[in-house]
Amino acid sequence: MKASSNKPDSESIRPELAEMYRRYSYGLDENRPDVVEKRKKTNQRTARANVEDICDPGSFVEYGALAIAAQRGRRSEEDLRARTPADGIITGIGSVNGSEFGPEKSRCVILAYDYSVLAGTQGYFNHRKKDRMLRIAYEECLPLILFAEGGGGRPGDVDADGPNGVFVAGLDCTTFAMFGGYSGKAPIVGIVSGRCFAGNAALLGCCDVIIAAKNANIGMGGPVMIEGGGLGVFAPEEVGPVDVQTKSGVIDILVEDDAEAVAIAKKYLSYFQGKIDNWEAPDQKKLRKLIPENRRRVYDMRLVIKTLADVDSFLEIKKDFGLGMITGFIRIEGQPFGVIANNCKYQAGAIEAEGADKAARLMQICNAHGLPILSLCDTPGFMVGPDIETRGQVRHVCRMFVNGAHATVPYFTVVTRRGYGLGAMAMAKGGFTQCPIVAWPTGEFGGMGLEGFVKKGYEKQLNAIEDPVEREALYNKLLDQQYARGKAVNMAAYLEIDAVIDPAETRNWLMKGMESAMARPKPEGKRNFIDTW
Amino acid sequence: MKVIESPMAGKVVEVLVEVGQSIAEDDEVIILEAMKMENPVYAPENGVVKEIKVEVGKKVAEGEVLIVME
Repeated sequence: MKASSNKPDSESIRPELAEMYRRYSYGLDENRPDVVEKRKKTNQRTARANVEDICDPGSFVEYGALAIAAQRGRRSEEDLRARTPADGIITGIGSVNGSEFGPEKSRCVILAYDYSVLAGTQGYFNHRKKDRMLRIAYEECLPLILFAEGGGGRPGDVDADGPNGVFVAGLDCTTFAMFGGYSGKAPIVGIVSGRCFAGNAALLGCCDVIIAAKNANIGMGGPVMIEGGGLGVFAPEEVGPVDVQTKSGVIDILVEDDAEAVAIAKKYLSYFQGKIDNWEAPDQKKLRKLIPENRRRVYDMRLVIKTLADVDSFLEIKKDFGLGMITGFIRIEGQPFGVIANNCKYQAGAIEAEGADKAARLMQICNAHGLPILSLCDTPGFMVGPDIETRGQVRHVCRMFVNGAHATVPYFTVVTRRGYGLGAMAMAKGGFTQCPIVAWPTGEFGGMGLEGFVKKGYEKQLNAIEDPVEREALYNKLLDQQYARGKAVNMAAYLEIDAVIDPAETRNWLMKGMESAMARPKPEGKRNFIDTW
Repeated sequence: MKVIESPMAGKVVEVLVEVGQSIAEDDEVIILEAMKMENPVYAPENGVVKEIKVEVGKKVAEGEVLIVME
């Protein structure tokens, strides 16, 4: 008898390996052409396509791909494998911006809801997948990227909450506590297109930043919940569309579509991954002319920011909310900074509740993740009046004092023009010289608006003058005196600011400041969380 | 017929053009004051000033027509 060959053929695929590939194949886009087609119709990409785009090629390691919906009690497993692959969420670890920052700084946890599976709802197994990834995130302090599209908690996972299931309401789900608890530990980037309601929106709402495509609808309840609550019948498109959610401040960055959302998410994350080597500075001499010689003329503070910062490095957040304050991120010589700046085109740059909230939150984001803060000040002060008080002005603006005082990251203030009153102090980490502070020669200062100061401070002398022309002349003389006192060079002479600088030297001043700030010992202790507002 | 609308609520403090004048895109045509700040209004495109619907001192609303061009 001839002995049979006992050398295994390493090329052939044995049945168990083939079955493994078969099980994975259900979830691949190439085997789900109807899903891909449907997504094209709504100008969206599949979850896998988004994950593929955001991760560096070949870097994504998936966890839990073989999960299927907890509905074995009413559907066959083959059916569940075909219709509910990965139980509706792609989870894993991939590298983002690895070519720029190297493997250590670029590993991220990726969570991407798959709307094509039961409308991206949160089911029993997909919650467990998220919790698994959150545990890894906690252990390794990884940035987290969430594609949040989906309808929230899922009715119908009969294995879990059906008549024979082991849940009643599932309110002991740990995901939201874990997700909320992760705030501040590493950057959490929320991305949304399409419909994002209820439990999905609850996760989105905990993220550091919310990047939304134009077609997004974001709401704490979708049509089902709303009707269930007796609040009326609404189409999904009527609930939290982007023009509502940008103006409300919920959306940080509005983008065109999924592709742009991924590109912006990568850009946003990059500010927290480190310095970059490739940068270009605009012509700094231009800064000398950006502040008008006419002190009452408005100018474009965004242009100041873009001229100061490395080319193409300004990413603004909450552009359509709190219009008097500009917040965002820039790089200078490749070094990332958070930036807050007053917008003199809106209410003369007076600080209102919404703008103060933006600034305070920007401070939290920077403080949590170790980013230095640049404050560009041009404000006549906090907004005042009976109207603004109806918006809780006192509490909102004071967030700048509390958050500024608790910021341990390097903080730099540059006064481009107006520095008046408590508002200017709030821009400057709570008070002048709490942080390095300089002004451009166009800087002008006062404890309050100088017109009001003179009217009130010299009321007796002014009222003692009968002749209105003479009174006006004295008023103007006193006012001129105050403006002369309040000039930047005079403020510096009295040491209320550290120096007056040539605008063209601002970058150098900042980078020298960074050098000495970075030499400071890092503060110990718990890192703060980033409040959602 | 093209119109230049006010980008904001404010008071007209300067009218920089006159009827019949040729203006170019981005020319300053009117200065509005709000919160004691001067805000220039720019021509959105080239044209000739046909009618000026405001005068110095007039308070305007956002969207109100300031100038008609042709």
